[in-house]
Amino acid sequence: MNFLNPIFLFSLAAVAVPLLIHIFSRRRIPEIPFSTLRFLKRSDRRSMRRVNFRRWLLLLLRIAAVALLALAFARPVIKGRLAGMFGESGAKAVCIMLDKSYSMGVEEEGGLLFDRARERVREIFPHLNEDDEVTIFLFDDTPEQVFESQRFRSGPALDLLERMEPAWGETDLREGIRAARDILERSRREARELFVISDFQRSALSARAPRVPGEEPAAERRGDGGSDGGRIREYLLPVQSDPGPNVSVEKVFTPRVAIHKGEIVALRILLKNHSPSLGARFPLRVSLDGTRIVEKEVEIAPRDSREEILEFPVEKTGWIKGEVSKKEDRLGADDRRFFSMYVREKVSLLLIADEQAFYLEQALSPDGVEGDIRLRRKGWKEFDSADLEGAEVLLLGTGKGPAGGDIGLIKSYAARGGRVLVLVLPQREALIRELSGSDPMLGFEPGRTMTIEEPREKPGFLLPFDREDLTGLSRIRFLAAPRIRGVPDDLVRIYFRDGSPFIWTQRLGRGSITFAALDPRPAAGDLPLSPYFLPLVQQLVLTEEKLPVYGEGATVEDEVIWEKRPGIEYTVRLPGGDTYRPGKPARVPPGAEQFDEIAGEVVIPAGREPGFLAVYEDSQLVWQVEVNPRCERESDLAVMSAEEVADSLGFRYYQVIGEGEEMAAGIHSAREGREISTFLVMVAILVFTLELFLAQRKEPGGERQT
Amino acid sequence: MSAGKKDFTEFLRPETVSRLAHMELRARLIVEGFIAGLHRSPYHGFSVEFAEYRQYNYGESTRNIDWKIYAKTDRCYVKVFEDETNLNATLLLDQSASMDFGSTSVTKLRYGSFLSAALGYLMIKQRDAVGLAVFDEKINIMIPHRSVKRQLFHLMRTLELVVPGARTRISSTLHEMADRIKRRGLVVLISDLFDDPDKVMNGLKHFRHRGHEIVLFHLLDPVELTLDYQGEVKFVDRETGEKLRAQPWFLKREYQRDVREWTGWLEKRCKENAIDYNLITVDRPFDQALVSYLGKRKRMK
Repeated sequence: MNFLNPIFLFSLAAVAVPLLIHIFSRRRIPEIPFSTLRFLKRSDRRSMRRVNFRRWLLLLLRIAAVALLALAFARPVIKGRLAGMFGESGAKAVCIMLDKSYSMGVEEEGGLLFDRARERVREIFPHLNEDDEVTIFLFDDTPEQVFESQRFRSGPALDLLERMEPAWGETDLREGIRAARDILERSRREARELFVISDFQRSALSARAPRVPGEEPAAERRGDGGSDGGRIREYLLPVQSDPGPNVSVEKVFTPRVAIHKGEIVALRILLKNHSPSLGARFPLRVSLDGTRIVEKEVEIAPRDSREEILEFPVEKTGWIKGEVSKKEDRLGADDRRFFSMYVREKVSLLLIADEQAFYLEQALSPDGVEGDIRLRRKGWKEFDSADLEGAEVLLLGTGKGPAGGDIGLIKSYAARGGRVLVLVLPQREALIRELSGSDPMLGFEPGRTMTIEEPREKPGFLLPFDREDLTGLSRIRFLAAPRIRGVPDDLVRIYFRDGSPFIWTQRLGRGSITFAALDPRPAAGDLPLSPYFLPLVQQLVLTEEKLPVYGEGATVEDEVIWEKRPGIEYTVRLPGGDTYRPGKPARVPPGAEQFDEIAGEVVIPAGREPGFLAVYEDSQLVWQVEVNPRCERESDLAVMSAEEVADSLGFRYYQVIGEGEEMAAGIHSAREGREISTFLVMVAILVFTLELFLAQRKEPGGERQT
Repeated sequence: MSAGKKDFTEFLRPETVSRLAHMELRARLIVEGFIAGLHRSPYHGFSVEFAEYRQYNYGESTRNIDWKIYAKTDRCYVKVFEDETNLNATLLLDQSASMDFGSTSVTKLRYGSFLSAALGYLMIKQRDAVGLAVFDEKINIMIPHRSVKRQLFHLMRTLELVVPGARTRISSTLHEMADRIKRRGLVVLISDLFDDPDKVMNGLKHFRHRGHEIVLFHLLDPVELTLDYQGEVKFVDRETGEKLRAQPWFLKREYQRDVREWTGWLEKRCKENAIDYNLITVDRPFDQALVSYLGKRKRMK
């Protein structure tokens, strides 16, 4: 016997109530002196047997009635011969859930694990009737209804089944089952059945990060996926194989700095061996646009995670499609991972400076060297809006400073996505205050000598610097260094030793403004003539500061947000080749900033398979991002028993039909079960009635028992 | 029925009698009330009464010769008076603990005391010699037979001080008393008879064997006949302290049948042995008992 609401079994404790009443009522018996007990004893011997029998019978009936009610609330389900007495329901609503997550793509002898799952679905069909309402779901992290039929015919379902393939999502069993339950609960059929065919990966029930930031996981949003009662009969059909060796290319991080043609790129690759006992050795390869660039032999211990850095030069500009792969093992889906890079030409920089800019110009574009920066110079007086066209970076250098209207021009430039580098120099307080939202206080003290604090962690834009460079930089003397207060700590990248910020950056619209307290005049200190001046200035100019140091692209099934510019027609090519044309702005994710200059954002549905997502502005490729499957959980092939799954999902009325077991026997056994709560309630009412009748009944020649 | 008679019967109610302070007063109230209510009854007067004439025998005292008859008939006849019989009456009052039970205002023991006092008063008035024995498992008080008026005072005072005793052993008391009372007479037993019925009957038969006449007043409380209790109760035996939890509402029927069988058996056996058996409940007026006694008394003349 199973119970659908076993929590109500606690109410069985209520049987103590009539028992306690019985006990306490017996304690309050009054004592009456009587002349002799002779006749009482004689009669008592005969009658008390009946009295006691009646008393115990009443108590028994009361306890039985309470117990029956408590049991009825617990909703018991019986099987076997007795179950046959409670009738069989007619047509059923049936939902079949087939796991298509990429762990189902494990290769075995003779095919994939998914093939076995498909075979199990076929085994179910003979046990469905024509009157049955059948729905088939494929699920990974998103349930997808692929078949629906009010009157079931196996032909179309079998055809559909043949076309099914494992996909690239993670398993989210709760979400899938919730969708199936929604369907079944809407059905008017009395009997409802849910078949779940899955490898029941252990990770399938663990909490999953929200797909869109700010959105809570569906399981928490809508409650647990527990059974709502006996109206749905669940069948768990595990298809599992022994967890063998599996090494996944978990993540590939590309450097999030401007990559220029001819540079050596360092690619961080995270590998993980999911096997608890077997080590692995394999060649790890990197390909760019289909051409193998580099290969390295890697060895990884059982259950170990390993980070490999592979370096290679880039010889072409534009968007590059990269791929990291290893030799395929049982689960080939996680042996290959895409990455995307944009290799750019020289950065176009506009330097606004009047005089004493020699060292600055040399640092930006050294004589006789093919640098990364294409430099244009303008004096403060000559500066106008036309100069900003085509400039990726604007450097506000020495000189008298901007005129009144220039500040608005600069801010507008930054808001549109331009990057501005401001040198913190004397008499620039007004400019800095205007450009900075934090309203800092500046003070310059002639004769003040200061050094910078050696950063504990290497800031992203100083990635090429090693520790020795940083130490050297921290020994440089600055003369007349500014004393600056009022800059929020989270904006500061490097400090002077007195706590004044040396370099800080803040966002403005789509762009950024970086303030650097470096004076390019030799009189201002040792920096301009030091070997650190040139790399420091170049890094400040070339680094995409708004991005993290390293990053990876999107994952399968994840939405991608793209900022839309007005008046431009966009085309998005999804992995697999599908093309998507965003229409009106779909929605703005919570917390996203909006500026008047930005028309809006569109949510691009990422592909359902790995590959590259490309965004075209008027047929020109402007952005490309790789789409990879999530490997963290799905690559771990550890599985749960079906009973563990049922327990976790709160199933109370389920049947596990293993692969070796006869499907017919399992289904028949489960369908035998009948809920008998209504019957128990009726019996309880009957028992109560009988109890009342007995309690009220007068004995001949006697009063009613009290 | 006249208003006056109503008043007299009121004096025979146990609850009325029990309110009086002195036992003698109670006895008088019962007897006078009873007599006043009996003016149509065949029981006339209590004084020395003429009974019959018989022929004078030679050697007898000539004091009793009725000379008027001799003058008319020329024969000597002797007047025979009733009080000549000089009856020896013995009151046996059970004071066992079981007698100290009453569901009304009067316990069986008090009722028995009042009845004993009334009978004693009546007997003394009739110039019978009255003796009293108060007993439980043994004879606790024994007042020898006397017919003088002082005896009445003695009796009343004794009855006034009777308190409940211990357990009942009627049969042994009856045997002992049967041995003690040498002169044949009337034995009045007032008891609830909660003893072995066979033994009780043997004791009574012992009296009969000695030639005594017996009037048996079997006192019971109404509730002892009906067991009229509600719910579940715990009965405590007055004599033994024994306790019994019971459902009287359930036992009632069988209990009543058992008690009926017991009293019926006693009545039958008494009848077989020419014993006047009177089952009296303590809620009944005293006249029933007195009528019974006077009937017996008359038959004994």
